[in-house]
Amino acid sequence: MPFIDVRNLHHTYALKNGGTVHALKGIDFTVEFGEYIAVLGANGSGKTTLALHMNGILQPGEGKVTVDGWSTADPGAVREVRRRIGMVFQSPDDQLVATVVEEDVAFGPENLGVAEDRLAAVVRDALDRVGMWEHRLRPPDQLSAGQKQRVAIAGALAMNPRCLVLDEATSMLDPAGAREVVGIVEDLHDTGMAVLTVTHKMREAARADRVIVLSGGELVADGPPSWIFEHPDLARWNLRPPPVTVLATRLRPHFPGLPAGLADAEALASSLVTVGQS
Amino acid sequence: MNDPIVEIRNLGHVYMAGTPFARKSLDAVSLAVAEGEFIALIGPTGSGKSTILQHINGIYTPQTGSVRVLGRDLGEPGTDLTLLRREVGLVLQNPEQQVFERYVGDDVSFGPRMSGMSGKELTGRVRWAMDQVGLDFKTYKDRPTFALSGGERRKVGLAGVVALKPRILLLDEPTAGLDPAAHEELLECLARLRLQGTTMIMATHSMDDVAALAERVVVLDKGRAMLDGPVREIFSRADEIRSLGLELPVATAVVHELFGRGIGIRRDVLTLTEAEDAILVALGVRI
Repeated sequence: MPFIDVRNLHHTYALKNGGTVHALKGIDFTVEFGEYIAVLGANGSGKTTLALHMNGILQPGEGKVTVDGWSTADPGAVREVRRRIGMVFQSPDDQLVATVVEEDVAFGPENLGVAEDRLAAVVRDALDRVGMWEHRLRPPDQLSAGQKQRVAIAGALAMNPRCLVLDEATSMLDPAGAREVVGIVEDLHDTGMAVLTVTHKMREAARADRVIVLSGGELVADGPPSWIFEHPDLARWNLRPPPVTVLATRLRPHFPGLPAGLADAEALASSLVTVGQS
Repeated sequence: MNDPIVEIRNLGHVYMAGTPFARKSLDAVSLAVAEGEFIALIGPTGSGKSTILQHINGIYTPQTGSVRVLGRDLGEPGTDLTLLRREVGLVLQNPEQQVFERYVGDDVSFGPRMSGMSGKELTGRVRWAMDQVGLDFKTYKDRPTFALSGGERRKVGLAGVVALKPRILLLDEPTAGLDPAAHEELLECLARLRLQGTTMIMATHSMDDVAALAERVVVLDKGRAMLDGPVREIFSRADEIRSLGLELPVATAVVHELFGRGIGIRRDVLTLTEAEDAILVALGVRI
């Protein structure tokens, strides 16, 4: 049984003017334990709606989402679902609730009823994993945006989830802050955490094992990043290949050995050195 | 430089000066901008990029040093900032938050209306501004602003500033958070405005945007201007750029990575086409 199973998922939003928006139109996919998946799509493609279905914030209009066997539509399973899926959103300011970092991280496990004597250890472990333990007594508003986002991840980790769902978690960070967050997410993945990351950034998607593309509320492609980045329909989905992939594609007629889907400068350079010498 | 349109001399700024939270934001920054230039301000978060933009638009008055814009001394108490801001447009980091009217047309026309324009002249100006940012007048003028996508809202915010035909356009992170297609369209729009002769000063983290648009870069760090020069020259100083925690444009990064692997290759490249040529020459495919 897959860890997350999404079957024929539909979602429709009601608008104030009486109209509706059919945001997800029959999505099917699964996430295995420990997988690292990026979700790509233009604005309005349904990415965020999909993310909000992963831990039951939204309920399927039609179809079903199960997490570790628990249906997100079952009110009795909400706790089990949320314990397994940690969510991290775009704006760090909207997710931090307490006045001190360690209280913020303790908020989730306290609500889950983690015993007081274990709570301190849970919080310490979560803050250690994101490198924020030394900042535990600071108010969140004194942190940089990248640090706030790390605290938000610690808050999710304190629930001991099996999967992190990130919705454009780096889009409001500067490049240094974004690198920090991506580094932490990769470390967590290395220790067995499943990751589902919604992003506009091709370079971040390149680091995933698998990429899912949404377009107009439909799942239009599902495969390795290298295949997605050179997919002929990319422009039709309103996506653009990473610039390094564009350059690699132009160079390939001269260096047929260049692998597909190269997305960062280092990877292209080292492939060129290898291919150029052979 | 003949008659700079913006002239900043030894500008210093301390946030929350005189309180325990005082933090130095600008430290003796000097910068002269000629009419028609496209300048990028780059630097880590907190390096002072936005603070400089906000001085040029008169949101801050100089605490130390001086700021002259279009011949006006912004440190003089009598300077008419309303008039100044008609000629110096500031597009905030999230210009979609500058959109406040119910309909697109009303939002774009707000500035010109406030400056006394009306009738055919006003309609013509709104149509022109929407054209500049790539929003079709007929399609969009009666659209409710709440129904726009993120990229569309940003264009409407930009059109509202452009509608005043500012001589200087200040842009704070104009492409941050946009999806790839919207990003590409916004770059085209800025290139168009630039061709009209508008002086542009853009704060950004996107080095590819800098390589695509700007002719000159000012690198800021901890409130000081560390480097100032032509884009090509500044980015060829890769080690200095990286030591400040900044990235290189993708094309530049690729050739520097090759150089670092012992390949003799020219490193003063900015675009993918230049990188392609440099690589083909360096690897012996082309002479």
